[in-house]
Amino acid sequence: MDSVHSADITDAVGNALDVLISGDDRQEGLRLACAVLADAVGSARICIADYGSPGAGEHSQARCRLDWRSAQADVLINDSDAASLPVDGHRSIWARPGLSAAPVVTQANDAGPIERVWLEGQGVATIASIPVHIPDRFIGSLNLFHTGEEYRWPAEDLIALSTCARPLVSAYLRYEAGASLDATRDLSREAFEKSVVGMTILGADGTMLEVNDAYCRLFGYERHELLGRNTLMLAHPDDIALVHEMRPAGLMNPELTDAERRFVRSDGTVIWTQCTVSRLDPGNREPGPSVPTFAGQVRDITSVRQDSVILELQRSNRELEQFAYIASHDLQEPLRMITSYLELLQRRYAGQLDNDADEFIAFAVDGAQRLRALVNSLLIYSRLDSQPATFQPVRLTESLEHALQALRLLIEENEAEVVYDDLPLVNGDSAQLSQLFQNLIENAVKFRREDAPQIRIVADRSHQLWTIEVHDNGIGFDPEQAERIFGVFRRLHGYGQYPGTGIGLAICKRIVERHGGRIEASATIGAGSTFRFTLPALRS
Amino acid sequence: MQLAQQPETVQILAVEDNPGDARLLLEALKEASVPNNLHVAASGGEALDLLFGHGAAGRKLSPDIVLLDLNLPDVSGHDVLNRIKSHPTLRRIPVVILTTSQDERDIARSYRGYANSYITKPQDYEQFISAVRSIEDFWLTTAKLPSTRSN
Repeated sequence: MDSVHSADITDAVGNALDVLISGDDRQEGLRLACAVLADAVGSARICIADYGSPGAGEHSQARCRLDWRSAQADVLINDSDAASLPVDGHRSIWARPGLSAAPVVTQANDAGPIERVWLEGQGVATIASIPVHIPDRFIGSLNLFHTGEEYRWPAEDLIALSTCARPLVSAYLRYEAGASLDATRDLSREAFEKSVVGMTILGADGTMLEVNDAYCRLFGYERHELLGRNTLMLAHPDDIALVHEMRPAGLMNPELTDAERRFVRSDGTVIWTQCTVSRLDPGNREPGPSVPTFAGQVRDITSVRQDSVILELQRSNRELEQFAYIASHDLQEPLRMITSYLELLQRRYAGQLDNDADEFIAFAVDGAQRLRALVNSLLIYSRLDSQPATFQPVRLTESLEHALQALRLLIEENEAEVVYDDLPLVNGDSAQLSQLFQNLIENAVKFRREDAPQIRIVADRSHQLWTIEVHDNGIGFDPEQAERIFGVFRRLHGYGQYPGTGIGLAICKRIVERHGGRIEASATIGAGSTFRFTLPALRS
Repeated sequence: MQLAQQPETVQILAVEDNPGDARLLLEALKEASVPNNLHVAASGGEALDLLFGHGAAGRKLSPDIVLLDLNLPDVSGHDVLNRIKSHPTLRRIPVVILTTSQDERDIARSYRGYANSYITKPQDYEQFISAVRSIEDFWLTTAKLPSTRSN
């Protein structure tokens, strides 16, 4: 009985694995590893075999994948077809699908007649065939040949071989099968796939040859919906030309081209992206639609863009408000002169000039008065935002009563009846809240029917929100106009019918929104209307 | 002692740089029931000259009431008010601020400076007439004022 070589076997197989993984010259490395292994156990030939594709059946030919022979074996072994091991006729020699996981050791002297003829023809005395199962599927075998004298395998060596054979055989077979054993290639592939930046490989005309998950997610498409199609399908209609330009730029200039472009997602939403196109090394290929020519990276910057757009809007809004305030304020002075002197003319000279003159002056006075109402309303409207909010606890009942006081004449003239709940205490600007009630009640009285106006103001609390409702029995309005009426200069009626500037409800909306609430209106034509606004409740 | 039927002509000083407003004031006062004489100073400096007698005329004016605009060239209305109200005898003259400013700060500052009344210039002639009438009613007929000229 020979000495035990388990440690040498483990070393030798370990070396072979290192060679496979390191990516250096594999053929040469494997030859060396086999030589070490053969030296350790005294084998003349080592081969790794498989049985073709999985499920090909136990009768298929074993294919010799790795065949290492010592110089001695080269002389001795007379094998006309080194690439195949003959299974038919001497199957019992080989580990194969359907057998147990135990090594098969065949001594030429003990073999069946047919096998013996073949073995002696090969000059082989002993064959050890070690099966490899992953996890319990047979994938191939490691076969060790001894020439000359019969070799009695120590049981420990066979166990060591069985243990080491599995990683070696599976790694080698995968390598042979062309599966990506190349660790570097695996890494770049993984980096491409897992990148949070949308990445694509494009053909010369922009055909998407490869896309990663982030790219698919960014545009909201499945991989197969994009592959083979042109990137222009994703471009925003206004940016198609710009996206198209990026490729010629990339072709002429090997440096990257980098730009902010709009694209459209599958659900129709527009996204702003930072996209970079870099040219790939074409090697010796002619650029074409299916030849990888560009690498594209696309990053979503929509939120960044929106932030800057919102800032810009806020700035221009502030300027506009400032402008409206200054304009309406400065318009007041000359307007006061026009109005006052027109009235003075009318007062002193009415009836002294002819009828035409009286009429002309009357029109001028009327126009000036309307302009004045308009400028005043605009001033109130723009002042809402140009002046800093000074919020403090305000008893809404007081705001309402203040408004009623200001409207006393109008209410008396129209014999209007106003009833109201005890209203809550809220945080706000008392002048603005009075203005809010004043505008709403003025509207309720102004847009009256034949019957005397009846106005009812109620308050209701739900959680942290007060809802205040102003009901009237007036002419109401078309419910379809419920949103429009809050716009600036929106008038549903002719001036002659119901005078007004068209700013009153816009002012209400502005006031309520500045107080963190919402306002809406509901009505039916001819059957009264309800204006409903919310205000945050005061924290107790 | 004056006869009740023939009220004394009231001397009014208006400090007003806008000729349109000055004329409007004149027209409104024409319709007033109290006989009056309107003097117009077109700037704060001119008003001080008239009141304190530093001007070319050299003669002091002793008005029964001052109608004072706030936004004036050179000396501001607030300064004119201060000068009047810190003078031992002139301080008795009622000063009515008549201005376009609706600024809360202007209103507060005026009353702190002992203005007797603060009126925002009305937007039309009708209202202007009634504002002047209310000044007339209160300051020139209702309220009993010590005569500055009796000193």
